[in-house]
Amino acid sequence: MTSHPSLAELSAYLDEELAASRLKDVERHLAHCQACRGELAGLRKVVSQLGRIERSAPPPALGLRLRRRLATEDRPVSLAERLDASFSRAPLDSSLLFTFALVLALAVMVYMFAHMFARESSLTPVQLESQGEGPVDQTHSFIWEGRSFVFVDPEWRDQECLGLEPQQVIVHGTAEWSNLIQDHPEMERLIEMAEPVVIDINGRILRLERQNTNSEFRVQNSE
Amino acid sequence: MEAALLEEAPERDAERWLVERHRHGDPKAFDEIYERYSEMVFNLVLRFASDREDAADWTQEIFVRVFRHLPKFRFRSRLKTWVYRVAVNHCRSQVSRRRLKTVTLDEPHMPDPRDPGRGPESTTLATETGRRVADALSQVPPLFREAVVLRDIEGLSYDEIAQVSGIRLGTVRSRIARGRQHLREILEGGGP
Repeated sequence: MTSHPSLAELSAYLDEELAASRLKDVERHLAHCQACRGELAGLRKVVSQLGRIERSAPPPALGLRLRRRLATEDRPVSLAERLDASFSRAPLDSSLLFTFALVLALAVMVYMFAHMFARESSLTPVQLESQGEGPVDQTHSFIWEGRSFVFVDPEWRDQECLGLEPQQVIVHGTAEWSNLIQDHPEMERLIEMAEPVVIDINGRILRLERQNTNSEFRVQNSE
Repeated sequence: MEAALLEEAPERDAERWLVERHRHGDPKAFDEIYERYSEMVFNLVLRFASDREDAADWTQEIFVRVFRHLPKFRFRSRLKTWVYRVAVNHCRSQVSRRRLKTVTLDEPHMPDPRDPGRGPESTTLATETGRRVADALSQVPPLFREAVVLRDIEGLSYDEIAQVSGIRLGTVRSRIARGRQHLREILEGGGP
């Protein structure tokens, strides 16, 4: 007789989730081992009992409550709505369009000039840049992809995580880091800009850091 | 595997359509997302919250998070799986906070029998057996409970549980088995 399958194997067998390579061995064993058949029957009974728990509908008022709560959040706004809003504020005429085009051209020139300047000065020790919204305060806060980060010694914290303890520390370059990067490639950029970082990712509070991190050094250089 | 993907295709398309509409500012899209997933989230949360009121609060917080993060959702998983993941993470965070505040590590969370509104299921379970099983389930350690709930109550596959819980397949297997074993011992009267 083959050796007894583990509890995890019996449980996976019940769910038809046992690896094909073990299936025949386990079936052969079960045919001859009463004790394992007893274990399997016990597990099957538990699963059946779990099926007796009835599902429950959320309270009807919850949807309304949520809608009220979300009314205070920024909703993604469509381009059509943005255009509607601007047209309803002031009808466009040709001089306004000309002024708009001129301002836009000037803004592009200023941006290009600033960008060239930034590239030249990239030898300064730490460059905290933001994507899209411009650096706010390079020493104590910055905005990145719509999230606000503040420096709470010794780390940068997503403002939404203030007062919350990290549930997991993820070190750059480890297997956990690779898993994280698969879903959130933008984190590579974030940790380049500032680390260690405490950030809320899909409801999990994570601390992202490099090995041998030296936040003190970074902060001193950024001031 | 391919057959399963083909079967899921219309569902995936519907999810993509909902997310795109939300991204483009259609307020009805999020209402539809809530309609689709609120029951699923609420039932999951009920196994971790101390009562229905708590569960309703947690469900609301979970959907606020979904609303905030949805524009950045990249379809690397099913939307449903992702919503489960947000829900599971919220439950873990709440359970660990509650444990830090009020419950010691060795003390299982027990419903207060004097309060008819308390206990994971006290007002909604139709059968005595269901209520007894739900009470026993609330005594199973949270990590094992999470795996058992996702498998035996929510009906997720092992692969889906691995994605939702962020663990390896082998860990899923052992947590489900240990959770079932704990529950069996509690139901048979001896406690774990």
